[in-house]
Order: sequence, then C-alpha cells, then structure tokens
Amino acid sequence: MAEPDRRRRLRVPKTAVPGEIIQIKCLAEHVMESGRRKHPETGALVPRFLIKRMECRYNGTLVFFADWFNGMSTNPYVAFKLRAAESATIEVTWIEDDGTVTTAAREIEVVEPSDG
Amino acid sequence: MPNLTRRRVLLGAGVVVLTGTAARAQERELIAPPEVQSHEKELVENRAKAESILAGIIAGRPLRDGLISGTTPDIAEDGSAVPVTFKVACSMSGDDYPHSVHVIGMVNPFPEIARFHFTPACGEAEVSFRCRMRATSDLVLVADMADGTVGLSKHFVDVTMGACS
Repeated sequence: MAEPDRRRRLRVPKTAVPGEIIQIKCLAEHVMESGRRKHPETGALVPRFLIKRMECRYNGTLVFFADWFNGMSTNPYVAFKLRAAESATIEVTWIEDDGTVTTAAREIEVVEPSDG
Repeated sequence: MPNLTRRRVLLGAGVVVLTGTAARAQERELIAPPEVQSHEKELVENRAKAESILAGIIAGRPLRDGLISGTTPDIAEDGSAVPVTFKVACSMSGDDYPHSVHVIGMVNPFPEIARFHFTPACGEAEVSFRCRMRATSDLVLVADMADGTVGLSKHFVDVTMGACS
C-alpha cells in the first residue's frame, strides 16, 4: 500500500455575526481501506485502514463528532453546522485505526454587524 | 443436390438461432451462475445483519414522523461515493437535539456506515457526506434524540456499480 496521504482540508467562514449558523466543511485525504478489498494480483485481503473518528472542537469544547466505519467513502468529506458564538479557534481532529491523530484548525471572528 | 433454395437456408438458420436463444433463456431461469447465487446470498445475509442493527438502535421505541429528512440520489452510478445530506427537525436546545444519527446501508457487508453525534452548540443538525453502497438498496437514517425519542427515514438508491466488489 502506498504511503497514506495525510493532507487535511478545513473550510470555516472568516467572520460571522453572533448566533449565525455557519457551515464547516472538511475533507481528509485517506484511502479508507475497508478491509474487504482483495489485492488485484495476489488475491490477499488488503488490511483495514480507516479514519475511525472525527471530532470538532469550538474554543476547546467538543461540539460535534462522528464514528466512521468502512462504509464511508475514500477521502471522507463532511459538511456540518455550528452556531457562531464567539471569536475562537475551530479545530477538527481525525483519528485513524493505527492511532494517528491529525488536526486542522481555523480562526473565526464573530462580530456584531456594524450599523450602516 | 437437394433443392437448397435461399428461402430454405434462411428458414433453417432462423430456427437454429431461435432454439439456441430459448435454451439459453431456460438455463438462466433454472440455474443462476454461481457468482450471482453467492452475491445474492451475501446480500440476504447483509440485510439480516442490518435489520438486527436497526432493531438494536430503535429498541422498540415508537418512531416519530418527519423528525429526520434526507437527500440521496435516486440513481448512484458509482456506489463508492454516494452523496448524502440529512437534517433533523429540532430546536437544538434543552434535550431537543439528536444525540446521534446513525447511517445504515441495508445490504452493505458492514451495514453501519457512520454515526454522527451532535450537541446544542451545533445550532442545526444538518450533515452532508459521501458513503459507499454495496448494491441497490435502502439507505436508512435514524435520529436518536437526547430526550429518548427516535425517528427514521429510508431512501432507496439504485446503485449501478457497487462499492467493494
């Protein structure tokens, strides 16, 4: 198997108004090897290698998380919502079968809309 | 030489072709090729597994109508990346939020595809992602609410080329 790609992408709006529902988009480049696929030449089962968990922290608090199994697609993409409360860091963590943890983080500025 | 006319030759050829086709059709009906048989057997086994997982999540609770809605393609040409979006209709305050949403592929070898967990800080329980589907089947979304209620939505997806085959 090729060296697993660990590129992680995270898209968070730069600014929001308090209470606004914002969309967070993230994508992890990963083979998501299901453990059922046979090697095309040898016929041996390719061992399972997945991202088994994904977590999102807003200002250090766990606000959204997911457990993934072998039905998630290759390069798993997820878009979800958060309520903008304060200017802080939004951090997404991916945990792989072998315990590898990768993280991506973005800052969001939450400000009252200015008049005019 | 017997009178080998053009008409006779054509008629004869037609009969040969017709009987051949009929025989093949009959064979197909009587015995499916072994790979088709084992594929169908696998799907039946997977479905049984999925049903038991589903029953375990719902645990006999009554289902709430319209709690969760989802969007899936009617036809997925590539079963290895089927786009799915779901939304849970709730206020996301108090305990009116989904503790978890289960995604189940009814004929997948490992039926549970994902579990998404929410908190009131999410503001809205709406998620988009891509999943794998083994074959044409239902994709089931179950919203397990923090207040103990449960809702379900079922989406039939026609999968042209299944994943993990």
